[in-house]
Amino acid sequence: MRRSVPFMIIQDVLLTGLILCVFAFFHHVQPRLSALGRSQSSPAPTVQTAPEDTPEPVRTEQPEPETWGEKFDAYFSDGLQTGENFYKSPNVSVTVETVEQELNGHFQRWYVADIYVRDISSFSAYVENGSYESYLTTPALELAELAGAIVSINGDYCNAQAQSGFFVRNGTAYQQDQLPRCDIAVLYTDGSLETYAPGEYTAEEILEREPWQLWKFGPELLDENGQPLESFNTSSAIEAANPRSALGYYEPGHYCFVVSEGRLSDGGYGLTMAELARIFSDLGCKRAYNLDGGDSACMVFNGEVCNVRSGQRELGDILLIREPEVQS
Amino acid sequence: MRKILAFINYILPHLLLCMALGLALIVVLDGYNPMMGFLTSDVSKIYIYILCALAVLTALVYIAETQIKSKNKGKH
Repeated sequence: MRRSVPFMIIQDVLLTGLILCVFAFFHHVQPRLSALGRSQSSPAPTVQTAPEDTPEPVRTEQPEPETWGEKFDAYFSDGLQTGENFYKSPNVSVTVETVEQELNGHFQRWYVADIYVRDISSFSAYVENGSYESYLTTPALELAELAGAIVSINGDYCNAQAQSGFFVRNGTAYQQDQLPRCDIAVLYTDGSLETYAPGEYTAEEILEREPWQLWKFGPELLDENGQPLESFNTSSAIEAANPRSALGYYEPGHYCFVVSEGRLSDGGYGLTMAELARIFSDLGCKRAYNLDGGDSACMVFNGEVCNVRSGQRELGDILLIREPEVQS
Repeated sequence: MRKILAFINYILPHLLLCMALGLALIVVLDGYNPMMGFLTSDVSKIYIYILCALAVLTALVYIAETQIKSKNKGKH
């Protein structure tokens, strides 16, 4: 069976394309279709109820009110106060600041949400349909509305990497027998947040301290003294300038979200991982953790999307601040 | 039958080449976004198994063909 060389080249290119299409179908499309099928056969979640989780969960204890609420009393208000860039209630205080700066020769714009919560249950995670193992994606604004978010950012896209191991959402632990290969960030019910590199922890140690959320994306950005790390546990391609989304921790009850623009010709070049780490260090954070960036990077505050590039991609999950389950 | 065997003989190395190119592309994509699990998902593992099976099959066909050719040469 003899064929001409150009014919064989064209044939091989087409065959490669076909193989990649089949791969993409089974890797991306088919899980999403089956998730859609599952969501259509089950009742739609309502805004007020907490989502039910389908995998076999291990329920950790519900968070208890902590004393930090009293410490931050000055940041809360007696009644609800909202403005263009702030939200204050008896339980939550959020202030969103837009920062524009020249960094390393590039114009940069990023958004910082400074957050105080009275109760750890205000710091929540949400995925549509309540299932972290279904591959559903939803526009960021819609997810924020469904979850009742005051402020939200995209999460670690954990339903797209559901097979990659241990994670915790709203006190429920999943897949403890398999530890992720990436750095993780754990928010404990006592309000503290720690970041760990692979090998620095065991699932048992973390579960013993009652985790409230555990994200698996990374990398961690600061060392134990709050100084920016010089090298990161990720690939150099990921470290390059991009739209970013990350989480910072000052002390129990006080956190921040940072989302940066990127890939824009006139409104933001994008932050490198080192620049992002420096921002958190300058903010005075003790711990900081990078989340899914690029077209996923998105901040929603008071029902409006903050960053220009957001909405480029639908999200699998968000982390958010909302009024606590038990109002004080 | 001879035609089918000739077709398999023809298509096997091409299929192997295309799957290898596909895997190279998947590895590059994984470098850009390791969190998408391009190399660690179940689908990727099946892909790699198929690639291995194709490589073994292609090698066996090639060895068998060379053996037959050298035998035929010996006869002449």
